[in-house]
Amino acid sequence: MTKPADTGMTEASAPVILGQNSGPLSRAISRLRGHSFAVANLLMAPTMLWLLLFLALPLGVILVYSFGSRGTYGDVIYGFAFDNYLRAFSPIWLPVILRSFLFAGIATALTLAMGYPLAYFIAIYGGRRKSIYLILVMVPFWTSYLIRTYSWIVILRSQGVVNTILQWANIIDNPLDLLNTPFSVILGLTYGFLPFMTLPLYASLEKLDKSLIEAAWDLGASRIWALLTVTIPLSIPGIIAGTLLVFIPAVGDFVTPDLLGGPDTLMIGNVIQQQFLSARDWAYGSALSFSLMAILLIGIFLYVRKVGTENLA
Amino acid sequence: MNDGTPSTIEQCEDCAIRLEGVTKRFGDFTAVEKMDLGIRRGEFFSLLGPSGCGKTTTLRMIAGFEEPSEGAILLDGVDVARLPPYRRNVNTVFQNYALFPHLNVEKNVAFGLKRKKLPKDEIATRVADALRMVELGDRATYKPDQLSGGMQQRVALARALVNLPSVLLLDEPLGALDLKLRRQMQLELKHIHKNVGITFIYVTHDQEEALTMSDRIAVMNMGTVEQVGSPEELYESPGSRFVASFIGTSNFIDGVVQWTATEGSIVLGDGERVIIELPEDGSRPVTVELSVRPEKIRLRESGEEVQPGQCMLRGTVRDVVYLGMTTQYSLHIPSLDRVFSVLEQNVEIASDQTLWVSGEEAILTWHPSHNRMLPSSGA
Repeated sequence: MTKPADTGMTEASAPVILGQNSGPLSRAISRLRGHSFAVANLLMAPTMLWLLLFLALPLGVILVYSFGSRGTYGDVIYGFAFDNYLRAFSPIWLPVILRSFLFAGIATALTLAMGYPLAYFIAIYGGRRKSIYLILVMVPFWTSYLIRTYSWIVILRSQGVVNTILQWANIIDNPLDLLNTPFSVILGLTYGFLPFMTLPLYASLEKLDKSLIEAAWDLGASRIWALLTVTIPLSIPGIIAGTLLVFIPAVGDFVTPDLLGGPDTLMIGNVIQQQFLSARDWAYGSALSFSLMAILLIGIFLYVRKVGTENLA
Repeated sequence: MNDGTPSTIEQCEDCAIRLEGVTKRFGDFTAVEKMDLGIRRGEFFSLLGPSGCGKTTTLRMIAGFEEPSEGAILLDGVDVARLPPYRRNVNTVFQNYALFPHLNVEKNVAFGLKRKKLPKDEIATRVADALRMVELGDRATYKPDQLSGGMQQRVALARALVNLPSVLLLDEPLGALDLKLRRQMQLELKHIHKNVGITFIYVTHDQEEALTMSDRIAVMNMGTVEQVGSPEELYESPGSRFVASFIGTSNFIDGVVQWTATEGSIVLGDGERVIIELPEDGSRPVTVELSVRPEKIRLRESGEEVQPGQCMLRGTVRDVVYLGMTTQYSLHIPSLDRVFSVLEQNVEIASDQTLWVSGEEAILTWHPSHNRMLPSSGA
């Protein structure tokens, strides 16, 4: 079954002809490209408009506020002074900022530790039940975060579910201090943000070509080694997305420490909230917000660059 | 399958791989059923069959990705059927190559050796040798997605072979390549096989590819092995109707046989006859099914004399496909009510001569030794 060799020659020369073509075909293609660019703009317009109105503009307002000062009745006196920023970086808030990062960091690590096996299981072994498992992951969203956090109070307080059961079983004599501790705040954050970790991890593990895992086994890698050298490196995009989606809102969260925390669990989100609502010093609150945002942005930039390039190496 | 076929594990004292009664079920579906197979050391062995015949499942069981429901898989004499893939001295070239996208070519190839904890300089030497073997020595630092399909294929090959496995498994490795590259890779694979001396098990649904490359082929159908043999054996002496029609093209004739002391014949009237040589096993079946390859048949003018010892049928030309070196005809045979395929060499056709044309009456003749008696299946 020999095919004449010259068929290959026409195949090889065809792209050259196409490449040099400046005739009606290529003109049509470039017109189509311009067209699809317009379509893309049109598709993005609503989101852009939304972000402009409800993100960029408020941010601008806060930026302007942050250089002003507090009026007698809680109003903002516009100005251009760096006083608020100097106060924002004053040492009194350092423990609060460190605590916020610590709590958010621990919560991120815990959601990653729990979310990864969960996402791996759903993506690799979920089979036909994948969508059921995914819905189960998202079910908590059907109830307000506030209500879910309140229910942790019911579970954790002195006469709560956990203490009652432990006392009834004679494991402890006096109720444990579970609520209003770093423990309860980290627990609340971990619980609340777990789906934000699981879903991006699932998305990247689902895309993973399963034959790559088989190839690793085939080349002598045990299950653990295949996980460490193939699966995890290839799911880095999901890990980056998940950790950012958990860490960033967790650092600035004020609901969880407010409801589940105590005097020694104050987080930077609480401080900002207090400045806006209790102290009515909007200018200072704005400066704190911007400072937090700046620290986060620098941190994210360094993190993505480090993890991202390690992934490429 | 059929009782006439000898067991396939017989002639293999020193097998590289031996399958004994291997069965694989997925729920109610039996993908592979009671498979016995012996693959000789250093052999280029193909598993050939249509999709869904169980060839890939068989390969995956040898690799360790699937565990057989029953049976044993002996690798160098040791049953590995229940061992995980990473405990078997077997490597696979995957259909989609399965190169690690986050590692460069060099690291892909070194992956297996690193697991064996070899000294660093030995790994470097062996990786460099393997890449040179597949002519990719200058692409060591490239990422897989920077390479063409053919190059990725060669990296996959190097990545598997560098570990010097007892058996190399290839799962339709050329399936994604275009025809020209595929032909070239077939030759290269064959060449590499000769040089490394490792047993290759090659899964393909492409009969031409299997015939070109293999020392022996197992033709599979519906989870069982239909026939094992060299390409010539399978083509010239197909053991079943399935093999006869899956490998190449065959014309089938069935009928009631009249046996004499010297030969049998199916008489069809008007001088038409199909002569059958006496079976060596002494059997004289009442009805037979025969297969004849298209290139064994000659076409003659309808008035021409036919030598007495030849088979002869009358037919009408339906289609003529001129293929350059050959011409392929299909002819309707009224006495059998079948369409026959005939392949004529264009040796004697000069530019001014015409081929047979559609509608013409012709006589088909061939020597009785080209008739292959097929075991009656389901009779």
